[in-house]
Amino acid sequence: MSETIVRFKNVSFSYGSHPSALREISFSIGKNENTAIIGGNGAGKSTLLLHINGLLRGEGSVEVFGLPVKKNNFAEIRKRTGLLFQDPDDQLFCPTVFEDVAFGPLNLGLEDAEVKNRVVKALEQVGLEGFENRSPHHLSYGEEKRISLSTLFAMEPELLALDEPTSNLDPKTRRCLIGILKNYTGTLILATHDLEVVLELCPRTILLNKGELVKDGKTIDILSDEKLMNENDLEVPLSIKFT
Amino acid sequence: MHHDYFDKFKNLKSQWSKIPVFSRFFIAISYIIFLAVLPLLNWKHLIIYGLIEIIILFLSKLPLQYFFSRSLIVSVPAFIIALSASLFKNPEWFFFISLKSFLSVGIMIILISTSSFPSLISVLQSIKMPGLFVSLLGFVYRYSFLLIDEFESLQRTYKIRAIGTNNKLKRTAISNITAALFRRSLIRSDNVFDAMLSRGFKGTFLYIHKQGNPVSEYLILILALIIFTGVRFV
Repeated sequence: MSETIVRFKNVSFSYGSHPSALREISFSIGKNENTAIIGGNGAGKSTLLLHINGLLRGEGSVEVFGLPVKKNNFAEIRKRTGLLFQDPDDQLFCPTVFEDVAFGPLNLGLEDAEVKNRVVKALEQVGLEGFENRSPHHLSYGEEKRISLSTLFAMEPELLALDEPTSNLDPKTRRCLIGILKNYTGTLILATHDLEVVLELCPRTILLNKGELVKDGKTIDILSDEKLMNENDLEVPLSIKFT
Repeated sequence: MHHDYFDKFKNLKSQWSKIPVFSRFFIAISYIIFLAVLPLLNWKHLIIYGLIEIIILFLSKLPLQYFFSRSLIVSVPAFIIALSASLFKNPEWFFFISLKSFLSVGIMIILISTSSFPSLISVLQSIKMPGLFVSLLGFVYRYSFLLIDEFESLQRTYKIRAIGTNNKLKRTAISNITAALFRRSLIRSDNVFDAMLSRGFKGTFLYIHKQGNPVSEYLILILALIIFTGVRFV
């Protein structure tokens, strides 16, 4: 196995008095091993992603790039990890696209000229050149999603953790986003319900149900197991069903 | 979501907007200082300062209705203070203090409405204002959009369902909306803060410093100071 990028060991987490959102989760993800986290609503996918850069911390241990996820290492881990939120309105909070995309690089302490270069390059990557002076909140949902992704690309992360990147997108924008992600050369972790995207982007899948890890294996094996999918509030993707 | 409640006319092309933000900021501040130190009932100089503001207003192309409505609303507390100060002394004071306050508020309205908020924050940073103060301003600016956004969304939901409701139900609905607004704003601001943290935010807002021409910025400022001082010798 290649160099381990993410390692979860017996991680449990609960929101206050609610039942555990994550229970004794353990797995490792290697470099460039694109992995999907799938499961029904409330399975714990988003909660798991938030553990990767320390926004949530439960019991057990999480290591990213060999560093334990704790306060001392937050800066280094967040520098190398891009986290995409499900709702782009949570991700975009600046008055202009430029400021939003520049927010990460500025926090990395880069020079102004380098920040500007990164912004231009990141917007090119998502096909939204010339959007610098637009207000993020006056864009279409699909454009907001792509801008959200560019805010991460501008930081040139080695690991991308994406929460439902294709939700609520029209087919064309969805296809565009998949194209962008296919060109990404780092490690991808995808939490999603969109199983067709999983088939295209992730050779490995981790299946969660009510905070428990049910299955970890090859995507094609998991997604084509009808019984397993039905038991876990999912269904076999049409592209597998009709081939 | 809208983002132009403060700096609504920041993209207005005018002679005033051609002046660098740094100079505009200090022109406004020094104008207020000159007004503040103007002796009471010095009407002649106050009127000249007022004329200078009218010139700036026309140079800025700010709509007059917008300027007067904003300035009058913000000046109300100053009018009340002026009234209480003048009641037991000289009634003429009321008009003098009120006009002074109105002019001070007016120049700030011109400055804020025609300059992008981030550029003003950048000026505050460049003059080494305390980081906490600048960060607080930045947060207020960002969270105000979120609050307005949540309010508009709840208002739409209310309008869709509140057909033919009586006043009592309306009041109940409004109180429920207020509570929901608070809860949703809290959740939203939490999420936004998480997004900021995940992109390396360490508590201080950082901005790109626009490359201006410091010499011309200072020259414009010096010219303004000469004019403001010159008024006192008229």
